[in-house]
Amino acid sequence: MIGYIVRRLLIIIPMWIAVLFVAFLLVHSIPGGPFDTGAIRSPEATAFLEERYHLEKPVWQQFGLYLGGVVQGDLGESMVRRGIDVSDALSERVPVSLTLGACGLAVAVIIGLPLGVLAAVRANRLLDRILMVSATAAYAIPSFVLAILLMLTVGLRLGWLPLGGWGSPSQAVLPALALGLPWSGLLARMTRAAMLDTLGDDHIRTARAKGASPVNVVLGHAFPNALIPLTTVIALLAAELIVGSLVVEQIFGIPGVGQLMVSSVLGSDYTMTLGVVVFYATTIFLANLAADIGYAVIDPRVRL
Amino acid sequence: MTPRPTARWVAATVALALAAAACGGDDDAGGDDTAEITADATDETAEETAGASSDDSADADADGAVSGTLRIAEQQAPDPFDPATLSDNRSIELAQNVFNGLTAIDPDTSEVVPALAESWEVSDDGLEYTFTLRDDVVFQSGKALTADDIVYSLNRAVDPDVRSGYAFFLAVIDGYGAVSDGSADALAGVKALDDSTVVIRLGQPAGYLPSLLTLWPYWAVDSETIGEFGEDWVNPPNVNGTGSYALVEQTADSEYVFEANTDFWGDTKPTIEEIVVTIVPESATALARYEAGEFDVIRNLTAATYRQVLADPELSEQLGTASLLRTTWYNMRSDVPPFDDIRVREAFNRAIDRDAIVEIALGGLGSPAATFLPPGLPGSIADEREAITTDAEAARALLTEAGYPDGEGFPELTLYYDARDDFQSVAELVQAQLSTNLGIDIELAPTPSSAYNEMLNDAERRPVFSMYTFGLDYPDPQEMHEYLVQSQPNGFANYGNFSNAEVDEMIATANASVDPQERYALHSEIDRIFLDEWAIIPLYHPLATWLAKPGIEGFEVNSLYMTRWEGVSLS
Repeated sequence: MIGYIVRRLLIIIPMWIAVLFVAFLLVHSIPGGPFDTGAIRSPEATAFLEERYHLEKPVWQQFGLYLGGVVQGDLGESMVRRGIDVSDALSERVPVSLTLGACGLAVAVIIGLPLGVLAAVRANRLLDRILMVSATAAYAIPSFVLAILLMLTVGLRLGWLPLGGWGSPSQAVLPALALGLPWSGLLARMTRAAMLDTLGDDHIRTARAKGASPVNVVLGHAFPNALIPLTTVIALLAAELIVGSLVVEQIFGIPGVGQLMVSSVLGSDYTMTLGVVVFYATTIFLANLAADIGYAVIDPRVRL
Repeated sequence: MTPRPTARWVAATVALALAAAACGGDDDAGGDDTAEITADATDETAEETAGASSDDSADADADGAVSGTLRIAEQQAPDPFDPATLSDNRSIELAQNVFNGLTAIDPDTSEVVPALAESWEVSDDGLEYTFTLRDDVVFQSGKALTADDIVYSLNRAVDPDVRSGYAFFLAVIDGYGAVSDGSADALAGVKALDDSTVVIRLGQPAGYLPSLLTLWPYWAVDSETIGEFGEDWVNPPNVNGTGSYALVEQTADSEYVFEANTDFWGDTKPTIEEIVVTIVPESATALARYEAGEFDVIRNLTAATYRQVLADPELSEQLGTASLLRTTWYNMRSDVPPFDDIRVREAFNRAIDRDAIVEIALGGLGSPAATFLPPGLPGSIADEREAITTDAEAARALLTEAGYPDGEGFPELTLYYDARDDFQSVAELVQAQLSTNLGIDIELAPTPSSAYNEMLNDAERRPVFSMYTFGLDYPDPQEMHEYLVQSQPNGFANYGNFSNAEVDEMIATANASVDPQERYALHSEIDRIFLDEWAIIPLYHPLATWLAKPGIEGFEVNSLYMTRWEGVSLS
């Protein structure tokens, strides 16, 4: 398995180049450049700035220059926000988005899995129906609506939690809930389905026949098997929550990667956008790898 | 073999629970800290005050006595605090409390007043300016400011390696060309005569120079600091200016802490010890947090939050507004049909209801415009001009005269504008008004900002009908007329392709004059010609807004969108 992981990690290098190339073409094909701001500037001054950033060269040459820097570990300097290195901006913001994503995932898993198991055990009874309707409702509410609702109720009306910002643990609660709750609905539904699947299996009947307690049957025999399909979902969900926290970051004023993505794309900040794309691509790639590895760890039948 | 599945599952659950605990715990600490309104100093800041100042009595008027904390929410994060490379209001409005220029703008009158230079003289030919520096200015590092620092700062602003986007304004200084093409290291026209005298020799007359020198790229920076720390000089605690507040701490894009400079040279001394600026991108969030007591001041209300504030009696008492030296208008290209006909341009002007635009589309965040130079700017003719009245009948008559009765046969027309929410609302309303009042149906083309500006700057693709908004960088009519009204290509931001030889000559004459009143009179005349030609459709002058908690005195945003902290106090 070690060999497999190393091989997969090596693939990340050509993937970076491919992703960068496509992203580079895309950002450069957007009309307007980093110096087309509303500020008045003489054409000579604009031409001078463009030359300084090699923007007057053909795109393939620009890509070569950029890649040359990246290979040496230099993601360049922001073209719009002067004096900010892309790698500095990322190293400040990545931990924020990772923490927020982890908290969101914790919310989704801690709420979603137990309720899914409970619903499966009580399948087609009143509790199951209530849980599944709530789960669908949770999944149907977009994060940004939930964010504002939480802010207005828990934050403003009740005054229990701060309404935004980042730094203290209490400030993470509302964004984590806004981010994680919708996915907890999805997880609950998937857990229920997976549990129902395994609860009907032969080995469960055998366990019951051997006199295992109901709790042991559900948690000791059925749940671990139900986890197999859920592993992939949870790993990919982790990536989704890290990459997809963009709107929640904006609403709560959290200085994460999502905010950076929005501002750099809108401002045609080429270098910064590419830096964020590298981070997103890496996150998704690693999540996929984690899903594969998780599969092998949980299911002894899978050999990598 | 591998451990039993159950054991792994338990381990995973425990790990998740720990993660949840890590992000969920400690609920009250943050809430309590932030819920406090800081009119009274907290224990912590009181201690710091005692340490920082010998006078313990927290008397705001006593020299150097500072206390308390002011918490401000801003919408966008500033860029690193290097004056030469700043380009955006969000950064400049903070940085101007850290740095100073030779001259400054009086927040009340928008006039140019002495700052680091206590006085200046200009030679009879208008080509040589002699600035005498104050002798009591020290950088926050403790180093005294000398004429060499001013020379260094101006040379740095035009240094190609520094890549300032605003170097070109200094093209009027002798020797600029040689520096910008790399054949010289320093401006030949900028010299220090002695420690307190700087002479600036111009290559061409520019009576607006004192006004231009209020601009941020030319603020005084310290050569020693930059030499010692290199690129890292912009980060606290290295950053070093002469301003009333020093940047002492920053969490990039999130929180910026400023501390009063008790050695500040200005007549108005800072009284608040610490100013904390927090970045809150969403206006609605900022308002909610303000109401919850997390901030003392918030800025930049949107139309939606502005309405919310007006509807709340308590909040509306805390509201502050200021009209900005900014005009928003539509450009009509006078070199191509249909706008090459002045009657069409007048018809469009008369068909638009500016009061409705301000009330409905902007929710009241502006005032109807009748002039190009905004009111309050020297040379503005806002006082003498009546509002442009909406007169559908007259407009239709003009259109009929021009050959388009009831809009019949009018060519297809598309209005281009920066795809911002407020511009969208305005454009939709204008579209409806033109349809009702003129019988002309125009297309709307909201365009992302950078694509839009690229289009405007491309002579081939410049739209026939486009929106523009311009806020003055320094309070002198020269900026608007020279760059936005003068014929292309010199008037490079003249996006309506307006061209008038007489106006071009008047701009040159005005620049050559050293008498401000004469210059302003000429600019008034230019504005009259420009408006009488119906060259543009002036729409509105936007309003700056802020909320400040009761007990905060003197917080104001001036007409250039700037706020000076040394005049603010807590009572």
